[in-house]
Amino acid sequence: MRCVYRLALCGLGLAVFACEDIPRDNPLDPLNPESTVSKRHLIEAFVNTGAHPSEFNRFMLDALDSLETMYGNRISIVQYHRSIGEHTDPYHLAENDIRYQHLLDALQSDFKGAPDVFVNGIARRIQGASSRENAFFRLQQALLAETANHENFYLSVRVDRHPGDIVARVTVARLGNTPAKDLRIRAILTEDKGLLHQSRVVRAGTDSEVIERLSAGEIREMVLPAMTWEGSRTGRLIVTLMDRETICAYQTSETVFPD
Amino acid sequence: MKTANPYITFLTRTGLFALFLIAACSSELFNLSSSPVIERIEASAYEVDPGDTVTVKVIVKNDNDDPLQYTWTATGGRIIPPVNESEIRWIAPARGGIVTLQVTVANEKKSTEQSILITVRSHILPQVQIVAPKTDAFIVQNSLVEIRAVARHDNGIQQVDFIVDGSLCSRQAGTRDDNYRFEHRFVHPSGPLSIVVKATANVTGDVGADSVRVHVEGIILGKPGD
Repeated sequence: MRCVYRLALCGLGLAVFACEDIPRDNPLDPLNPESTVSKRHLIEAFVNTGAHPSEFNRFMLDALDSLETMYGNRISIVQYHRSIGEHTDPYHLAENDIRYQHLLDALQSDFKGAPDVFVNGIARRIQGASSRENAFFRLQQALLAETANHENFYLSVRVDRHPGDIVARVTVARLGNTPAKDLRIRAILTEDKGLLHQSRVVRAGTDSEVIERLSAGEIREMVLPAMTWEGSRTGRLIVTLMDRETICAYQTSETVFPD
Repeated sequence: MKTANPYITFLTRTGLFALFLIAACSSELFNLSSSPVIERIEASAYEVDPGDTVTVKVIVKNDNDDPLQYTWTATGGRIIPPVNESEIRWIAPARGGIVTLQVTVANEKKSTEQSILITVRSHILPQVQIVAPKTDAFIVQNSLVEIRAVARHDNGIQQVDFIVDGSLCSRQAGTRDDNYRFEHRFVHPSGPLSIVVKATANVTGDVGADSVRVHVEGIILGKPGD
């Protein structure tokens, strides 16, 4: 019996020493200093699809469809519809204009028009279109130029549905061994209208409070302000982790609802 | 009547004679007027082709018939010996441009120099390169884009034309630094479009060109506030 105890103690000691040597190399372990996750790129398209949609917008929307087919869950596309002069758009929102102007101000640009597409905030801009092929080529070039295909931020979202509104519950984690600061999470609700080029129409959006600091390895749960939503519609909730000015997107996640 | 004092008269005359002697001697001593004077340089042609032979002659005013020495130099081409005559033959270089021929004329005491310019025609077309935009660039409709080009020619550039979509949009005189730029607003239909930059050479009038094809990306323009 004593021999059995001795063996058990030795085994336990060995196990303890062996555990100390286990490297934290799990790429999904936030405490692994080398941990990263794939980056999902945010594509914000400002378009006009009025009663007589221009071929330029059609070219761009066709190209975005192709891009979504090719890149799948590596990108999230949202369409902000804008009325421009006599070119009214039924899905125009005043908030869309505000978001557009916000990005233009960050770029110090006053050259407005549609289509106008931004990749990861103001990192890349693709304005205008002359053909589906050219638009696709330019979008693809912009994505290829976004060299950071891995990111030190993990982001996930789930939807809490309530009568008349939707709440985004977000989990954000800082991977790697350096802290991050001055972040903000932006949530965008898009609706699938069930029509061509209208599967990702922005219907609402909201921003979180500023995340002053996210320590290395820290995981944080956040609840974003509720967004108005009618019960039966299908859509997607896209959340993106940005800088506090919401002009640079670091990581994006999305969920489709109803499941 | 009062007669002149012979002593003063003698001194005056002696002084005048001495002054005359000094003037004569100083001219000889300091040699003030003996520098050769080049009246002009004449060439059989002032605008030639590469390899042409040109006779160049210096005409000197040499009242004293002093023995003179001639020294010729050229910034290009080749002087056929002898090079120490008043008239030489010079062969134009293979490359076009402006060549300076200089002659130094010297007597035993002093020298003087003068030069002429001879233009050598270059029959190579002007080199033109559109630096921006690059070929196959995408240009947003109605945007203002700078077209930049470099144009060179051995005889210099007389003018540079910017032609967008077949229309002359700007004509600029030649510059010293070879750089030309023009801001153009691309109010053109959506689709491919050509930009041509043509440079005309000085002297020969030869024209060189470069072109790029760009894509005008159509847009619904917003007005301020839209």
